Amino acid sequence: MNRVLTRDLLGRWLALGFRLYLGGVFVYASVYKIGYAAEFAESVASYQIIPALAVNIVALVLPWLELICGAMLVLGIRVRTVSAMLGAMLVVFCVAVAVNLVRETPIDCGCFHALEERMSWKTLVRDLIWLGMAVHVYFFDSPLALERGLDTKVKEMDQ
Amino acid sequence: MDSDADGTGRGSVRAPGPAISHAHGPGTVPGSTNPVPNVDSALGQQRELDRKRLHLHVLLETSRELSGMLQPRAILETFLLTAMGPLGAVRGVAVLARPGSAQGLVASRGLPKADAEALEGRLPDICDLYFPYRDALAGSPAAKVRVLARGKVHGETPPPGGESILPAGLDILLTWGVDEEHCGLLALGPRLVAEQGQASGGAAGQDSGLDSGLDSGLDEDAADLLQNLVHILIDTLRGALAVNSIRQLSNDLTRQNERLAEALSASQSAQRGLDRRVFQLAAINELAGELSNIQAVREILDRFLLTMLGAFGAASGLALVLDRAAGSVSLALRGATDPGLAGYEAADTLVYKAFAGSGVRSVAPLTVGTLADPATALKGGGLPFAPSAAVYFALSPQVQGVLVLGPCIAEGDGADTGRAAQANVCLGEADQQLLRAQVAALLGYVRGARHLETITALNADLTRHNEELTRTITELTEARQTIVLLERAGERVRAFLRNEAERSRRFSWLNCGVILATATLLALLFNLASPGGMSLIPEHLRQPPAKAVSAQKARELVETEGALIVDARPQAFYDQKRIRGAVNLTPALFDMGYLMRFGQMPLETPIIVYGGNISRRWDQEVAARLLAREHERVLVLDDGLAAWSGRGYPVEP
Repeated sequence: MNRVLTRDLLGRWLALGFRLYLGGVFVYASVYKIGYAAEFAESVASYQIIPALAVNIVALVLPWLELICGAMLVLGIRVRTVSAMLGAMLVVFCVAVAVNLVRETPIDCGCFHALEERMSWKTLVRDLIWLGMAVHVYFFDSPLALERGLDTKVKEMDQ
Repeated sequence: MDSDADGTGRGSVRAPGPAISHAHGPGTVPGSTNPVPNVDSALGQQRELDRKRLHLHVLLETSRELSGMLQPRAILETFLLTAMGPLGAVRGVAVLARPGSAQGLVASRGLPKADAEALEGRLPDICDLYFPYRDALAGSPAAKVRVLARGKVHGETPPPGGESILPAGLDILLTWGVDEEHCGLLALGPRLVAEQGQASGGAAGQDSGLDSGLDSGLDEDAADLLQNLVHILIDTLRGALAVNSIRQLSNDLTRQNERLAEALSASQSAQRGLDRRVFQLAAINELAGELSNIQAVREILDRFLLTMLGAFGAASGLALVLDRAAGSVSLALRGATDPGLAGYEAADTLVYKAFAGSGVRSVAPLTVGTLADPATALKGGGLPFAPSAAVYFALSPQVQGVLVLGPCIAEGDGADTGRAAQANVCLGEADQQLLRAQVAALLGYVRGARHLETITALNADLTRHNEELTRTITELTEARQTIVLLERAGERVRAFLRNEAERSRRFSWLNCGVILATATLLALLFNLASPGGMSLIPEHLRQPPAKAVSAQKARELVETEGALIVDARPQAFYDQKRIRGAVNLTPALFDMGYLMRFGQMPLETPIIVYGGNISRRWDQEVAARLLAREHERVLVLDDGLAAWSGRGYPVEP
């Protein structure tokens, strides 16, 4: 009983917590970047990874992607796909952060606002933690999801 | 006649002579006659002749007396009367008996009345005692006459009391057979004393000599006479018995004839009755054939009534069946007009009266009761005719009826008509029973018809139900098809949903693409609509690049012409590492920095700009702006800081 409860707690309900937190973080991060796309483009450029031609486009699209994915994650729609996409984004961020940490490039993270503390290893660790959350969400079903309701209804109909 | 009689008489007497066995033997008779002298002999002959004449006379008289007599008793009595005198007997008894049946006649003379009656009563004993061997006595045409001595019947000792059967003194005993059935007994009593007899007649005198010879017996002559007398008696009795039996036969024949005539008339009457019955039965049989084909109660009643009227010869009639449950009346009426009996109330009254009058106790199913007095019972029942016969019947407690026949028109047979006239009923007992039986049969038909009605109704019901059922089945079939369609649709929806649910749980590249495309579309639209929107391609990429200069050349220009080195990167980069002597001027703060540092600088001073990377060409941007400020020599350092420091040129800090 306890084991089941523990597993449930560590699986589904933890996944729900991660889902909501991660989705909220991404939605929150995206809002400012959408409103100040030019600044974000500078941040993107400061990483010196994306070619000049693509910088503006990425700076435009990436916040929207974060917004959509974050919202879908909070609402619980296509959680797997979304968590995979977020995971992929986090991987990219981590790589970018890691590369620039190695390069010792003096830039801000650019994660939330244009003016932030300098990017450091803590940034990388934070991103890695978020990546772990995304992985957890990917592998565990969580309650209070819009599409989970659909699934339950289908099961009820089958009975 | 006399001579003839004498000849025959002697012959006839002599002939059976040897058959007589004298109790004392023949020796005594010759012993009594002695040799006589001539006169005596003549006298003796004379006497002998007289005696014989007397004997013949007696015989003649006896036969004359007896001739023409037919009554055996009268014959016996007459015989005793005529025979006792000549034989000189005081008392005599004659018996004619049938030993086979121990019956017979007893005639007596000279006996006290009590003795005579006692003898009549003891006839069976006499038969047993004297006729034990009836077969030996009878049978022969010439009846045997047997003379018996008293007390020595057949040499046997008579049974105790047998001695006293015949009164004392009757010492002369003869038995004889008349015919095959009848036997006779003659007993003659004590003879008068000879001297006395002399006075009364020759016969008495002649017997005087016999007294001693025959112990209460007879001499030869007397025996002959007796023998002959007995033969006459036998013949007369035979004749009389024959005549009697013929007369009896004739009487029997007459009676038989009468009986035959009676039987004939009875059979004729029965024949008439049978004819009538046959007619009735034929009609009823025909009715049965007809009724079995009729299915309506009313029609059955009508047909039944018609046949009953014909069969029992009634002029009018009525058959009525009342169904209390349905409140309906089936009425058949013939020979009169309906006075309203088709109505329920009137019919109910009539049926109730019939029920009350029928004597039936309870209304059990299939009850039939005949009304003994229909006229009284049905009085006030509203009948349009005078009822002569009525039968009440009940099919069930709810269904009852009555059959009433009106007055008869037929004659009927004798006995029935007589009674009919009396009781105002034209049906005999048998007819009543037949009528009752027919009504009982009618019950069966009516019941069958009612059952048929029920069955027909049930069938109609069934047909209707069947139609409904068919309709229901059709509807059900349609509904099932609908259900099948709905189920299929539901299945599709469910499959879709399940698919969706499944897909929601799976990772999908398509979803990734859709999300990406959506994000891109939204980003572009938002950027287009937003006032602070930026161009997708950086501005400086559209302008012609500024003139480039190698690191070596740049150093020469710095050393020789005092060229100014401008670091176009953000300040953080500038602070981190820069070419020694370089001035920080970023595109973002270009105007302010230009004013501060380049306001007094001559336009011909060479300016070398560096600070580009893969993402941003800040150097090109700054160079373009400087050119726009009309500086004549603006150069961009090839490969920037990397080329500079790679050559070992001085950097700071």
